Amino acid sequence: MTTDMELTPNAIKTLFDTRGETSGVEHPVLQVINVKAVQSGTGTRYRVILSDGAHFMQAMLSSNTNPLAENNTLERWSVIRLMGSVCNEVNGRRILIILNVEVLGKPESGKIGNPVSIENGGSPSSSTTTTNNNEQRSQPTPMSISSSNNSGGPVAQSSGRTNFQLESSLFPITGLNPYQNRWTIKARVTSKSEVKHWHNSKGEGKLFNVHLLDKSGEIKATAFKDQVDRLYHILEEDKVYYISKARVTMARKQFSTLDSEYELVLENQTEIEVCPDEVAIPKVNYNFVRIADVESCEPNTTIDMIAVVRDDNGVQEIVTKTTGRPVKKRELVVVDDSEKQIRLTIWDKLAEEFDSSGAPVVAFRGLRVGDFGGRSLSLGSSGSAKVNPDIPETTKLKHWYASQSTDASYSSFAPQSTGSIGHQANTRISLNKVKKDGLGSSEKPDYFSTRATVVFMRSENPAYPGCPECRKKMVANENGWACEKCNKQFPEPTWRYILTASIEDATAQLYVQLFDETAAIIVGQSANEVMRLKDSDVDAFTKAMSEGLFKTYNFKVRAKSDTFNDTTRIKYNIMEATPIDYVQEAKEMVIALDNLTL
Amino acid sequence: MDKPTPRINSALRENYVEQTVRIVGKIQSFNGETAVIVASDQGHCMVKVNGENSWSGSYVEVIGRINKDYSITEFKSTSLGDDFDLELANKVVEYGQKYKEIFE
Repeated sequence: MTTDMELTPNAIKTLFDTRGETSGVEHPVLQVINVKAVQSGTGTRYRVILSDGAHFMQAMLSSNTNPLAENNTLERWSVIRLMGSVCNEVNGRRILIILNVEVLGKPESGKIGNPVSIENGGSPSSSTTTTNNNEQRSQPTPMSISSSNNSGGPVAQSSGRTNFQLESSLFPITGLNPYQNRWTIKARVTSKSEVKHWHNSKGEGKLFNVHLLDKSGEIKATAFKDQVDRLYHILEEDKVYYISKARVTMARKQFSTLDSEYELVLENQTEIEVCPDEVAIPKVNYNFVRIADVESCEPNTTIDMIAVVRDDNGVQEIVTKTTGRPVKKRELVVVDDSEKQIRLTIWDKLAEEFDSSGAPVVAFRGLRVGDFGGRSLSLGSSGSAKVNPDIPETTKLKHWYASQSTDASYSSFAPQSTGSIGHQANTRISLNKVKKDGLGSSEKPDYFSTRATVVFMRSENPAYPGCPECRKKMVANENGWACEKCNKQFPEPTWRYILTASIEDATAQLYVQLFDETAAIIVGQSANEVMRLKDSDVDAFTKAMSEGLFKTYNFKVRAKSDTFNDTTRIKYNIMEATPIDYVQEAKEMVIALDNLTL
Repeated sequence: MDKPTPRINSALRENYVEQTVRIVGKIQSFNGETAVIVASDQGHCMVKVNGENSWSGSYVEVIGRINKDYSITEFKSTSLGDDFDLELANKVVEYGQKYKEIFE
């Protein structure tokens, strides 16, 4: 063997370990163990295996060195001097890109030495180092980069598979910025929006957007007008693509729920290529919040949640105040194992198609927290809902729900007027907070619970004469009482309380109205009895009205804004009044105290 | 009294020997001279009854002095009736120890 043919010892190891920053040998001499032509999007590329006699590693010829392989100057067993190279890491593998090479010749003895793969820590190949064996062992290593439906052995790499050129220059999504525009990302489409149309003073147009996810993060990409037609069918949810040459712009936070600084605009020159290798790209990133924790979320934050759909109020069509257009919505009630329930609204197409039969577990992404009725959730346009997703939380929730009885009651965030759901101890607030927070001042009524003492009850007109059948106010005439609605006469009306009272707690005072049922509890007597006393025995009447004073109750109150001839007042109506169970209250206090000191 | 009487349970008796305390419990046994009550921490306490108070009902609060042998010499007792949550009462005792400044 001539000295030219001596391979540089440890060259492969050096190249591999120093990743091409050749502090080691300059221009090492190596042998080509294998050459294989690979079809890629950009044409034919040559994959080679280089050895220094002890180890071998994967390499690629750069396009400018392709001719050497094409005209067989560089072929298997050729000994070469590596003049220029760069080592890239692709999917955890180090690939040497051969930029410049000098072919020295080809020894007659074929393979020099008995090299083992540098990557596997040198597990020796079988002694019969047939070329086949070598090929098979070296084949799988780059094959694992491509998708795994690989029936072993050398498989012809079809076009569009591992595109080495792209793989070697992949950017992480978080690395994208407007100052660098030669990049390629490999990402999964985690959500794709509908095509949206807009009209404004400048004209009209259409757009759609997608969320792209890779290991480093997520970013939103939008396509406008013509690009919509070109790309809408190419980009599909859950598939992975190579994307390059899109414009990186500042994110418009008001349109996006993602946390990214930048957004992508898909333009005419943007290249999008399907990538069948999905192994390295995670699927959707969920960050689930439990229903019980939603209370601590500020309204207008975006969260994800996984929960069981308990109730479905069907599809309703409402007209939005903002655009005046009809919009379909579906209100669901969902529960999770934090033993709480919450209202969740979905819109448009999803609302129409949603099927909640069988109490499915649904994973929601991009839910906006609202404060309707305490706390509520709305699925934003960039969100998604996946029914019975294939993640461990699904099974966990299904088991939990199955172990609950079907009519288990869950505490919700606000008392609902139709059917109570558990007790709302956790929404009990003090009266000064009611005033400070201006509960009831918005258009919708607010509901709250409080514990307060009755300090005053108005004695004038505490009740009205009601029709025994329809409860409407009756007018007195000579024969008795006449109800306008029923057109009937009654000798005696059913007096119903319409009591104004003042309640106080340690913090503030509130004027409230009580209707018949609750007032009867407070006063302790029915309205009929009390009104009878009023006519007959004034002292007894006064006494009756003061009997109820200074008793403490748990009240459920509705606060509503009422406009009466220019003045807008907040009216507080008592929906329920329950006497206090001291033991229960004390227990709750203990819990609160313990929480305070932890 | 210028100093309020601390509320204790059976375990705290040793801290208050020769002092006046209040202790709540369920009456377990009673004869003319002594009684045994189960305090809020389920410990048993012996009370030397002074005969002036009626021990009706199931629950009682005894105000008395802790003797060296940990029995209580009764000064006054109040009947608490039959419906009483001993666990909550124990919580009060615990908070009294924890937040002494509020209770004294």
